[in-house]
Amino acid sequence: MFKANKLGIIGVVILLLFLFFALFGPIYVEMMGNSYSPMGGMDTSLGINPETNSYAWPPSLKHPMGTDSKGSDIFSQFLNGSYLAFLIGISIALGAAILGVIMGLISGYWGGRWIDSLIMRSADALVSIPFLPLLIVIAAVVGSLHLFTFIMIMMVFSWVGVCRVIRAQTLSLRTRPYIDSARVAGASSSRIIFKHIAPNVIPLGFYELTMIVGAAIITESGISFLGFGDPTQMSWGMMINFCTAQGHTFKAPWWLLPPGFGITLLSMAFYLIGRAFDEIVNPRLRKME
Amino acid sequence: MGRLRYPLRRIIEGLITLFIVMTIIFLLFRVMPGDPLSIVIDPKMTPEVKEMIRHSYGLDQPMFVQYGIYLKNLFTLNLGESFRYSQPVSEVLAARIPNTLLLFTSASVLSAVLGIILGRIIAWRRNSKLEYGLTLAGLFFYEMPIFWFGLILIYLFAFRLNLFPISGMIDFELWTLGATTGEKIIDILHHLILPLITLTTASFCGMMLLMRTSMVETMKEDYVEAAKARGLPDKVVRDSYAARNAELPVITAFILSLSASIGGGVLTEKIFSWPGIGYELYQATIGRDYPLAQGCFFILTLMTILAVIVIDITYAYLDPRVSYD
Repeated sequence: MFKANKLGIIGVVILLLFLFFALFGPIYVEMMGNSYSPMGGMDTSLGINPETNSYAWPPSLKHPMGTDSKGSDIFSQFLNGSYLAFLIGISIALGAAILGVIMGLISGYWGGRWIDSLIMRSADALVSIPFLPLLIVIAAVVGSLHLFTFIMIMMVFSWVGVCRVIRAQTLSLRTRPYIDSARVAGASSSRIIFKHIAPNVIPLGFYELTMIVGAAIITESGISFLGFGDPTQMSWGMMINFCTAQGHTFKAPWWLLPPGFGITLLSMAFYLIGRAFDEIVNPRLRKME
Repeated sequence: MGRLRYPLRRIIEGLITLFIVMTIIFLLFRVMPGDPLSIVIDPKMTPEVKEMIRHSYGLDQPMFVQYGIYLKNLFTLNLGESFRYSQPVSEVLAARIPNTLLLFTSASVLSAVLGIILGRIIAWRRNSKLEYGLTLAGLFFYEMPIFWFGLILIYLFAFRLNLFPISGMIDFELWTLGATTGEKIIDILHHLILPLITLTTASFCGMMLLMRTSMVETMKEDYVEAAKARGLPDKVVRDSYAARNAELPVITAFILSLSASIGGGVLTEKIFSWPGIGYELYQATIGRDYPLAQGCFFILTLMTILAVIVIDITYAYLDPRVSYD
């Protein structure tokens, strides 16, 4: 099993690394002092770098990832971005999972009834709304998207995938003999759904869930990159936004590259874990080894 | 009747979606802080002139009247006047739509073809070095923030190597100096390459990974085994037996990822200053140009809804096993 899931193990390793980064962030600032704070910390002791014409210096012993144009430590911002990515990704995925599982169970259990139609039509409608443009428009209305607002909106847009998987499985499970026998024995609908069906279908939604984590992190970075993100949070997208807004895209690769790799690798890790998990729990993928 | 019922139902549903989304947008724009007129009104103007302009934009009417006018205007494609351009929004959009379609359709077609071909190859060689390599590389590109990749491409190929223009869609100097049609087409293509690579790279990997998963599932079907047992060449079994059915779920997944790709398109247009709807949406939002931002969003939503309906209907037609009632 482990041999077949080499990629899954790579995923776990990357994930643990970033988890360490996320937790290490505050400790790092504590160790190095306030001038290393990800928001507003500045170290101008090196003076102006003639190459970049700002306080942006390439990586050194003092600043392992260099500094940005204001002399702020990039490694510290990177660590903080890691923490924010976990916060955003996991909370959106959890919210979407709860919504998706409930909707999927209801829709599948009463498949073909009006409630099923209502849920599935809403799902169809949701996937045909371009959510990044919508987020841009909403951001314009409220000035910038507060982190909490962003998480809430993304939850509403993210449950469809989970719902479809859960619904399809529920539809096939509800005609099984053990469900019939539960019904004959007098179990209520909610008992059948939560006691007999849910435990068998929920694992299949896990793969979708890990995809949502990645999508959430990437969407947040896009919004922040455009300058509509939460200005009080130094996320990875915000770092890229600052880098380009300060005209350092072509001058300071040490500033541009780390946040992008962070977003990519962490989203990848979640996907790899989800895929490995799916190959274990999903019987359709298991047979051929 | 049966054949027409499904498309008809999907179109009506699409209209309802559009209606709901646009109502939300209307409400959103009305709670926007700041006076939208501040951008077209010089503070030194007299109150009478300001009132006149306000009236000409319909902003002095009660909310529900504005809503009525808004809905009527949307469905007659009368999208108002852009504050910044002092030109009807529909005219601004009409000029931008072809640019967006050019970039988006070419990227979609290219990534579908690449994704399906590579996906079936790696599925066929499951657990090989090639599969791991391509899966990891594909995943990296799939999960990468598209704007960041675009910036790196600009840095490498436009800034460092000077092979492509940094931004825009045409070289103004060339066009004003009276270039021939052929030169103009080449100029546009030259500008198109980097944004196209950016958008394609980000989306073909998703298709490839989906195709792989889908292929792995169909490869276990009895009819594929039967085809192998009949001694048909590997390539025929792979392409004409397994891949055929594996492509269907990829279409479904494509619909689910469509709104994400539209988002990717907006970001791509922004970093390359590609004069499309997405770039205009960004500019209009920054400049508080309400009618234009609204119009851009309306067109993007309309395009997504239309694409989803077309793909849905095609899918229902292609896969007779799926019944829709």
